[in-house]
Amino acid sequence: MLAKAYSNAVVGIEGYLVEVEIDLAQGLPAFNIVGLPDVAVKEAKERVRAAIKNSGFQFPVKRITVNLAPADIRKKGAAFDLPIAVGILAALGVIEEETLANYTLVGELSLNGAVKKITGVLSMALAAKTEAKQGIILPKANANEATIVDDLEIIAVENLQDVINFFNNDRSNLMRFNQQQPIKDQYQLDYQDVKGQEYAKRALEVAATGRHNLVMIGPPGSGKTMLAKRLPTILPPLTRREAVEVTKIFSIIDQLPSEESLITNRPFRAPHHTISNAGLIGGGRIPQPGEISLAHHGVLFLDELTEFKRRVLEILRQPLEEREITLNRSAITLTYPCEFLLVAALNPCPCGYYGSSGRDCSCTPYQRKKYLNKISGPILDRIDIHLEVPRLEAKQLTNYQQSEKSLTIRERVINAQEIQLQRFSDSKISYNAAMNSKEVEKYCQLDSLAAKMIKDAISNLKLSARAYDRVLKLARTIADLAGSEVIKVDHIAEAIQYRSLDRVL
Amino acid sequence: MEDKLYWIWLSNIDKVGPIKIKKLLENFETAQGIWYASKEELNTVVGIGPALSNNIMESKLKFSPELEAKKLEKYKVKLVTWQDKCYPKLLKEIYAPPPVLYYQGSLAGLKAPCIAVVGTRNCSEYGKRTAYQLSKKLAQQGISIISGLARGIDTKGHQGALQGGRTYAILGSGLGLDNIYPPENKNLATQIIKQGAVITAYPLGTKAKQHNFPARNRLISGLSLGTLVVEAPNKSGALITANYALKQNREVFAVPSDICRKQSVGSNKLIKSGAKLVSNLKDIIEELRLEKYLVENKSTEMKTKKLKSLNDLTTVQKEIYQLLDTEAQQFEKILAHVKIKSEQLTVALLKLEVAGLAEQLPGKRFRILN
Repeated sequence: MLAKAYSNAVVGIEGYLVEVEIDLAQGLPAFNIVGLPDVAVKEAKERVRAAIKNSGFQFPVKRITVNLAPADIRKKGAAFDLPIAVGILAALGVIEEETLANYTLVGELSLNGAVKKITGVLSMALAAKTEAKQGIILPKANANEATIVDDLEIIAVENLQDVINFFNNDRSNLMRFNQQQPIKDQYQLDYQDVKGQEYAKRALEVAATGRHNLVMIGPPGSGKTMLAKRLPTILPPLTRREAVEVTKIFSIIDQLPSEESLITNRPFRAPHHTISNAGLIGGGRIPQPGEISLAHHGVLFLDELTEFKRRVLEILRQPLEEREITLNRSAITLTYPCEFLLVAALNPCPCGYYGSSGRDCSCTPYQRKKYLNKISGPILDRIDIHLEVPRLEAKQLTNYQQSEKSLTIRERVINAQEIQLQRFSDSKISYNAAMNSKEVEKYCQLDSLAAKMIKDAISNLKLSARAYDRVLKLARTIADLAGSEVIKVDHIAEAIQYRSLDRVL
Repeated sequence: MEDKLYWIWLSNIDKVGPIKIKKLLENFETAQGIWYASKEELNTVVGIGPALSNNIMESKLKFSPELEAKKLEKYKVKLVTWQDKCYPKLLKEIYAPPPVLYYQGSLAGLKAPCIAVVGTRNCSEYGKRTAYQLSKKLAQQGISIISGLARGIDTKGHQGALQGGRTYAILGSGLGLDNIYPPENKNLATQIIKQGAVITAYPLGTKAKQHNFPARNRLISGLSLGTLVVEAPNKSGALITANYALKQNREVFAVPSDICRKQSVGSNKLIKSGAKLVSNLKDIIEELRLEKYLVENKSTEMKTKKLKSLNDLTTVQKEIYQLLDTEAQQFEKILAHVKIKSEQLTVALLKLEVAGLAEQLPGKRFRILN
């Protein structure tokens, strides 16, 4: 007696189809699972045996062989419990095999037959759809997540009996693609709440527009974290494709907010500075995504940048360029996306008060230099905007007029990004920050006054020449915000102000 | 020249300092003479016992004049000794002046009146500005500025002086082998060599050691008519220099500064105990009776240049320029006083900076540049 059920599994963030073949043969009673199962999969035996028995069926006293194909990919997790159990029941003739072939099954079984929550359901449902299955049978707790996928029947089950009922034409558990799911983000935060700091807000607007990485330098309590946390609110809303990508990543590490099926807010990740390499870029025997992938399409905020271990910061270099991270382990090689906007924050010196008007800095010049030297040149080279965030006096904070809303800023960002998308329609990049030096030469045309300004700035302000390309890129973004084809002197002048670490102040 | 090479040997003998050297010279006249003296002859000199004459004989084995000549040539370092005419006169007056000075550059400017400008390394913006301006003005008057090439006030003093005239850096390390300390002042040292000299009493290749610096301070005050302390905390190398200046019978000047800052405790204390308070150039010139040295004021050219750039400003820029002060102000504070957007103010301020009218300080603060 042979039966076949289908299931899904996840490698990295992509799902794939797994055939679960069950063979019941005469002989000494046994239960074997083949097809590179890990321990959790092997233990399915005990759960399946108990679940079938406790759901009111007879467990066959036969030689049972389960084959998980493709046999060359390592299978992990408890999601195969459900297809194995259902496959055995099909082999016994309880379920009709023909309809079974149209669906994939995923879910962990409890000993009493209940179907429990698993991770990575969104990727699995997407894989079921690409394999042209009619539907997916999954734990009720995961059902919301899968309703993002259109043209796929979602059958949310609570226990093994529900599955049998479904195949006996009980359609009560069927859920469909949720049409009522427009991409609409909602943030609790708003730039309106930040009083003053107009200069910083403007710089963040430029950063959001051209996707320029940014570092904030300011004394404690100046509002660096407050400013950074609100950055997602001025980035354009996630597209459907982006939202699905983000949700997939959060789905496989089981960090989806329970009431939502699709993540619509751009992620904001702020790992603590004691984070390890693996925590930041991802890792493990079977590598799991790290903070940089969880910040995909969102913001990665590194507070107290100088406190991070130097080696941890250095490994950011490649992902910042490639926008994805490939993790090689002996068992498997996985690639996770990590297109994030980097925002870092640090104090101007060890005591934190260098350049503050109210309080004196107690650090020696050497201490200050050593402190800033903790950030390596290559990392600094990937950061376009240096933003000084001074601490404002209480007087300035109280009599400040109404600030701009995030939505108003976001409108300008979206308009300027439109211009960039048109400009780069033929090339691989889509934002100004990603331009290489050839593209800078091509797209960053300066008028004569602007050209004179940058020359004067380099000679009069001791601006390092290394900043040249970066200033041009920033000026390009500022010109885009102003809707100007050519980069004018004002755009260059503003851009130069955002390179304070390149100057000897 | 040859005799000078023996001076290098003479000044480096263990336990033989300036006083003993003086005694030896009274007997043998030249350094070369001492070199060729026998042990018995050395023993007869008052104050040189058998132990010291042993030291002297032994040190000869380690010294080779040819090698020393090669080294001097390689690093382009020159020597001046007690017996040279160009040995700084003022320095000769102090107790136990160093027998040999090593230098790069020219010592001609030491014949002009010299003022030492010293202060803390960890100085305030005010200290930097004052040190720079006063040194520049003094140098423009033809006065040479002496300082120690350290971070902070010393650096600013040298930089200001370079704008106006001559300056001399006295090191706590030997020349050659890239021994300049702190390393970020290497460029400054090269500049100083062009417009003055870098001087040290330490032999070639001596590393910068902590205990060398107080001894170096003695030379700074010794070379100068007066020592100007710009900013100094309660415990500071600058106060050591001022102390030496008093012992050497030279003038001590101090610039008053913020009584709330710990960087100014020492310099303000000097004023309390009788140092001359300096608020402008005149205070120093009058005290030292240097009026006859004054040279023509050349700064009118600067003023017309500044006026020209002021005329080029737009009305908005002018308005902002009026708002700025010599005291640094935060960006947000300026923004509160004008009716333009923050990005427009950013642009206007940068243009003022490029025109040389304003200056940006850490913490996004701006002030007028005078």
